Amino acid sequence: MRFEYEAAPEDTTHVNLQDSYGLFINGEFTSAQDGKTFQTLNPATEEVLADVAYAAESDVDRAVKAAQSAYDTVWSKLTGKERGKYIYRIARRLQEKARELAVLESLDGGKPIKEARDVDIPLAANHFFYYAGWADKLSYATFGGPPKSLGVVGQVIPWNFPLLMAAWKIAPALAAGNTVVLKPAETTPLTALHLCKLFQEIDLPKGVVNIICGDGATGANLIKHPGIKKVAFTGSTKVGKQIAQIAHAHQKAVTLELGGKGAHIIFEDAAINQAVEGVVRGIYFNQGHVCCAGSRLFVQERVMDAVIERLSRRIETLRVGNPLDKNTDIGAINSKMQLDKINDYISIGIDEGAKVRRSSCKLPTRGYFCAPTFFTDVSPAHRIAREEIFGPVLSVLSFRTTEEVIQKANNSPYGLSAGIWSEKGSKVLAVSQRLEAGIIWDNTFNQFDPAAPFGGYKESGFGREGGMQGLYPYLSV
Amino acid sequence: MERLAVQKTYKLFINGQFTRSESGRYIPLDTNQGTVNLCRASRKDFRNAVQIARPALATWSGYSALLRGQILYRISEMMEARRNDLMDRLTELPDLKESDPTKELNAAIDHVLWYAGWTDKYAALCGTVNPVTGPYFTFSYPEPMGIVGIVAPQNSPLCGLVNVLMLAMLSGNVSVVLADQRFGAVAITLSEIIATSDVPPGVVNMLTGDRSELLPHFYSHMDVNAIIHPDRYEELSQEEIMNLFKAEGHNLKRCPQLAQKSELEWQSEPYGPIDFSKLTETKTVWHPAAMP
Amino acid sequence: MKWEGWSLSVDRTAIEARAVELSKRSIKKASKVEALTHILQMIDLTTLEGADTQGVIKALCHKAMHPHQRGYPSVAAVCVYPNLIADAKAYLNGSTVHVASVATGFPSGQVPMSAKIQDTEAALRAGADEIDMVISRGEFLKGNLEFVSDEIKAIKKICGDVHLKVILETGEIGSLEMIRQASFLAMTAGADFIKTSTGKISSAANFLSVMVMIEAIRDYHLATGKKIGFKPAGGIKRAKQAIQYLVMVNEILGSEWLTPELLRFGASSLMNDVLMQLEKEQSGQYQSAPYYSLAY
Repeated sequence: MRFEYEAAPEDTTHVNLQDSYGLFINGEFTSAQDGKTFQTLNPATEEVLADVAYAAESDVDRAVKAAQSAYDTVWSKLTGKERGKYIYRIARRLQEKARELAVLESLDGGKPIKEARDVDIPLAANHFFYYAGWADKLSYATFGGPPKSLGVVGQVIPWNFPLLMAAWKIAPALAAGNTVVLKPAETTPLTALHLCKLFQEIDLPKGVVNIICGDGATGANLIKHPGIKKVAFTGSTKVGKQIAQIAHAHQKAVTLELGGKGAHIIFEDAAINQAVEGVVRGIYFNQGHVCCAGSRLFVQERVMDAVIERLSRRIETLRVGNPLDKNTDIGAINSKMQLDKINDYISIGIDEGAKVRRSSCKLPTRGYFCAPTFFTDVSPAHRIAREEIFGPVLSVLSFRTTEEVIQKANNSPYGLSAGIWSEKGSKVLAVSQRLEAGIIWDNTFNQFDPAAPFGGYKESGFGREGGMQGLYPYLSV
Repeated sequence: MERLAVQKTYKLFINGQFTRSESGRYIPLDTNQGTVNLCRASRKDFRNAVQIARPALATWSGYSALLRGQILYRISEMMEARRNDLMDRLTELPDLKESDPTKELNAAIDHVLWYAGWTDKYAALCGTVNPVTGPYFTFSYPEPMGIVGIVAPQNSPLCGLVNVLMLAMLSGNVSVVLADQRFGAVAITLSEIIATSDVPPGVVNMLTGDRSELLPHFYSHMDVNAIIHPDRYEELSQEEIMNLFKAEGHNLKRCPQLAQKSELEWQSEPYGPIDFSKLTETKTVWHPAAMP
Repeated sequence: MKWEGWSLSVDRTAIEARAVELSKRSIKKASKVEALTHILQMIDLTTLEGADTQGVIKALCHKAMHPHQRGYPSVAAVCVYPNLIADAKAYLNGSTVHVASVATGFPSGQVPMSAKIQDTEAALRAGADEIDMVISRGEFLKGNLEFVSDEIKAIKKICGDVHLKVILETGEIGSLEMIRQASFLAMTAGADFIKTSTGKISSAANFLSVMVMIEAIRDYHLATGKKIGFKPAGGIKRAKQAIQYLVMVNEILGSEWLTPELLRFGASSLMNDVLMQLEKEQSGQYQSAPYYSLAY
């Protein structure tokens, strides 16, 4: 017999979803000056969720000016203690509205409700809580040097963790005394806009945070705006390089959180069953839409068969489907465009001669879905072993010795994350030191915390978010 | 009859050796004592220097912090021992009449000492134990960025150079330095001091040459991880800047913004830990902590 | 030993994270009824008290056969001390409910080997359908693995086709890795089931020990093709907890383990909570204890 779990959908009745949303400029929701809008979809059903105002250059200008005015007249004049109180209010209000925001995040982005509920929203609230406490302690972070804010910062965030990325950007910027213009991703604007409603509720001074929606052109207008003193971007390495050029040439401070091709290493002396779970968390968490995903799995040859056997069984138990179902492990791919890209890479992998294994799960007939997939017999030269896929697709490679796997892991232009599974502490620490990556997860993967700095080496970007180090990009030091 | 002095050839310093430019070119340098010739490094000299620097990174960053500190201290010792040589190089500079060479030299030696003492301490300030939620021991610590291209300041003959070089060295980076053309003889003399201070070959590579010729290569080389260029925009047009950073876009070099300093500020204020962090990468490590 | 599944390493933090994840499965409505119905039929309804009398056993057996007036299926077995096997057999006559008996100096196992053998032989003579033995935890902790292996082999030899459940008493074993080691030891020595606990110490079945033992069974299966049964016992009082264990077994071992042949729940008060939950699913009303008969 099979034991089937009946559908367990999260209740959506308490979510106050509007038909249309404006731009949040100077504390008010406002239409775009030219009245242009775009639609945001539920990727699990392909249904339109809402119309959202599209910010043209003049709207960007309005937003930056509002932020500048708020900086000049209010925010830069507040003490750190008072700034901190506002940020604490944001954190608390987020906790109060956690379930509503989790449902909204799942609806708009396609991520499983259990992840939005247990990861995204609590971490977003914690991030505000963490940086609220720094606001009146900045001189300790700068070792006594006078902490100076920068002014208006321009922030552009991606669609994989919409509210969490907004928190990662806004919280340290405000704590350091800056004001903000932030652009959420085109496909996932809703939680950021609901965050604006929350700003109104807590009486955040007008213009301190402005949120404008749009596409790449909107982001480019924001970054180029002469009023922007600092640029923070999370997204693809390709766009990140363009942003770096613009920012450097205009002498704006810049931090970038870009792509990755994380090396996930299983040594023969690992706790194999937990390592396999780590692999699952590393690549199938959030449909693999994770910049620090462990997308290159290196398995020591002696345990390769054991790992593959377990992983093959394990992906069959991953539940793919309605993101709002509390038992769903893998939700919807964020957009049609992303699904096409993932499917292209799967074809590329097959054409390159790698052996594909996919879950036999049934996919919903509507919406954008992708069965959990991994490739074996992958060689380091394969494109699927080098390029970021940003989906639930893993490339498995083998190694024989520790030295070899360090070479292979570092053989990438990226350097965001790495994972190491071994029960031998000295080896784990030594390998951690040798890997060129900003985050090393030993015997775990995809852990995040506001107190832990996060960011990449090499082409995965520069600057850190989280922790004391996450303040520096927002201070003139 | 007066003794005829032996004249010195100022060569490039690459891989711990003094070598002429592969191009055979030179730059005449006017001094109060007459004209000397500096080598005019080519892009191939630069490329060779980067190639040499890459393996030196593992050696230098692999040294204990204490040992790096002792070697930097050794540099200050050697500067003191060869202060007459350095003084001669400073005093023969024709266009630094306002500067006091003695103050410049004393500050430079003292600054090296400052950095020597930092090597085994900065990580205790810039590193953190991160109090995360959950059964994990999580810590972050600075690692060197790798190969740093240094475009030496144009307004400070010795202190500026010493400060940017030490900023790179103290945390384990290796560097390829483009000395300012006017101060080439000072830079090569400093290299002779470094060459006798137990600094492993390739950790510091000193080039003299034409800035506008070499700058695009510094910014475009895919194996250079970071650039220090404290006065980078001064003589460049907007288009030239865009071009430099177009190249920079190739491998996302780190180009930390360092405070611009006057000649006297180079003498008065060495860099501190916040600046050190601009030439390091923060690595965060998570490890579970649980009873078996 | 070749590696296949025999690595003893267990990472507590990671396995705990997985256990928490599985415990959050939302099992509602029809699937909840299905799960509870399975669990009911997998219960080893247990009384292991010095004060047990024939009267108690009679009540237990009646409850085992007739869980509730509404006519739910009977449980898998009753579990009693050897002295009371014959009475249980008599009361259960004609039903499908098995009689399981603890043996081998239960619960401590601190009796001579000869006594363990006699204890088991007596239980079998009295008609036990299943034997729940304890391992010598002292010998195991001393590192005398061969002793433990030999005692299991000896008991299994006596049992023959009678199902042997080997109790590891995980609460007395110091670490998850030792639980994993003990699991392999028992399975290779001939256990048909491995069981978490005696129920006689405060630390009994919990998420971690259950996860470790289930994974050991899975690894043993991958390596040998043999299917070993699993019995969590001790402290399982709530239906919700039993459902969480059922989900763990379902997702790690697979649905072919969801049969009384391979999965049992050693419990007493669990049974009424399962019945109350089943009734609640039927009626939509939350239930009250006095409406459910005692098993003693």
